[in-house]
Amino acid sequence: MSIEELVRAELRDVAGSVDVPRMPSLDAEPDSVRHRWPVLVAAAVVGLILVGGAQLVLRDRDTAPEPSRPPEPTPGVTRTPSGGTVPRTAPSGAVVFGGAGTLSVDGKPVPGSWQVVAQQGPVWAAYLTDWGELWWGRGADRHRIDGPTSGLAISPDARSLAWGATDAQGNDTIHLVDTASGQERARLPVEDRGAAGGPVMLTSGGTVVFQHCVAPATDSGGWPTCSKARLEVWLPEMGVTDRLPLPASKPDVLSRMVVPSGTDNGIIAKSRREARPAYLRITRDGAAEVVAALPWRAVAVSADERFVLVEGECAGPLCPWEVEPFGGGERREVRPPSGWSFMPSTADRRLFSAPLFTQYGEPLFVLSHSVEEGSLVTIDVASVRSQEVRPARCDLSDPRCVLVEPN
Amino acid sequence: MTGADDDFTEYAAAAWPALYRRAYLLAGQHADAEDIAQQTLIRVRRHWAKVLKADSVDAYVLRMLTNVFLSSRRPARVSRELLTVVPEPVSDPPEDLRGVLWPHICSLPDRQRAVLVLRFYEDLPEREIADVLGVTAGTVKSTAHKALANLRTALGKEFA
Repeated sequence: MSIEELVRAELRDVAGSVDVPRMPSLDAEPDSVRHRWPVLVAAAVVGLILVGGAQLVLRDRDTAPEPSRPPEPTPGVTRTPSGGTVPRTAPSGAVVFGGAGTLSVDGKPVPGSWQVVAQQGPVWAAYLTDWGELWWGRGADRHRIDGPTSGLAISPDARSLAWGATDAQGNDTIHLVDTASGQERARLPVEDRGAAGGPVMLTSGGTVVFQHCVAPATDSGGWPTCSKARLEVWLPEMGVTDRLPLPASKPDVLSRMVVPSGTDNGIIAKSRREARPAYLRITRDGAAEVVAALPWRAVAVSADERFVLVEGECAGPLCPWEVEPFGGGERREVRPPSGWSFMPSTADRRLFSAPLFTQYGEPLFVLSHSVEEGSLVTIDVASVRSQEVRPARCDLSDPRCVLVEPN
Repeated sequence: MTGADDDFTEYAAAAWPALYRRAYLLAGQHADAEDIAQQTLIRVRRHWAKVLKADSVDAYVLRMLTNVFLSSRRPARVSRELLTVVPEPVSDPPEDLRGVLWPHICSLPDRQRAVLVLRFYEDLPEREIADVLGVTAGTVKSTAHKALANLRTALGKEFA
């Protein structure tokens, strides 16, 4: 008997001998069923969504007159000792993550069980777990992305979206779409991109930074992976691709080489796990300008490029996050909201985990922090009394944080 | 209760035993199997109108079940690491190994086990398995190959 026949017979024997219990009630919503998704991922998704929404708040605030001296504390806003204000609220009109597995757009729930992958202003991408489908949308207008995908990025101005996909013949292509029209603006065939490739960053100018697998492989489960990759930049308007000046990555940092940060064309990148991270800007002509070497464990540069957020060493459940001036100087601890703490580090997983998307297994590499405007960042925090996880917005110029209130 | 509710209730009652058995083969234990089968039916009910429009209700539900299984489990990093090196195939095991194979099937990475269940229990061709999993047929083929190679090696060691 061959191994195939043996497996077939064994599976049928086992299935035939299983004692099938009575069907349980189906009245329970899926949330009441035991979930094994890590709390961290769910929390990170919440954070990402609220961060995107918060950017709208901040942009709105830029155009609104600032009250000189409010007589009473304004609901939803906490004043920092330095006089700056840290908005607590997520805006209406944007995508809102309404709880585990749910997605709301413009205040209306979208049917299905969703895992949000990325969001920027009104543009979102989410995985419909019921059907194993990836969708993107601008508000309520949504589009399905067909085929196995890897890598997805939304430009900071939310006008463009890029992802990598593999067609039925195994050809890899990076797609760039205009989110207003829903039409594809450009596509780039990429030889041997591999599952770990795909866009990791998209500037407002439409420049795509993507990981290019140059040595495809398969993992022990037979799934595509990669043993060597490099970062490349694609300028669709000019039809140009070029390598970024980083050595090829080792597989253990694949998918984690770059984090969008700072300005809308800034990234933190490192070439291998042991390397010190560097801050780069992608210029309009597609070159990578190395701006500065960053401290070890640097995870973000503020949008005003004045501060560097550094993840500290965790001691048990306590994980200090710190901030230091961009050019170096005294490091200060970032204070979480009272009663909350930054979460235990899974640093290697989070540090350079760009919000890539893979369909199965480890599906969501979502940052637990995100850069907002000015000196603001959002970091996920955990309650010291319960397992609740919420995003907190922190002002790195006066390193304290407030909880972001869900819609 | 509407007619659609009646239809779903009837479908769920009829489908439950088969769904549970499939879930058990995927999960390898009763608690997970019940969760997976229950959650699948809850999703089927939520999308019942859409499910009924499918060319094959069973195929759609199987896809949902497999997705629930794969998306509800944390990556089996330890077992993956143990199986990082693709083992050298050994010759086919003798027939009297039936009954000892199941623990080794349970120890396979989730994706390998899902491919084996779809291929050898559901008897789906590679193309349909690829559709269910959202991967290419080549990936299904290589996954099945490695899963079988892992089983051959495990059996070879046990009875060496």
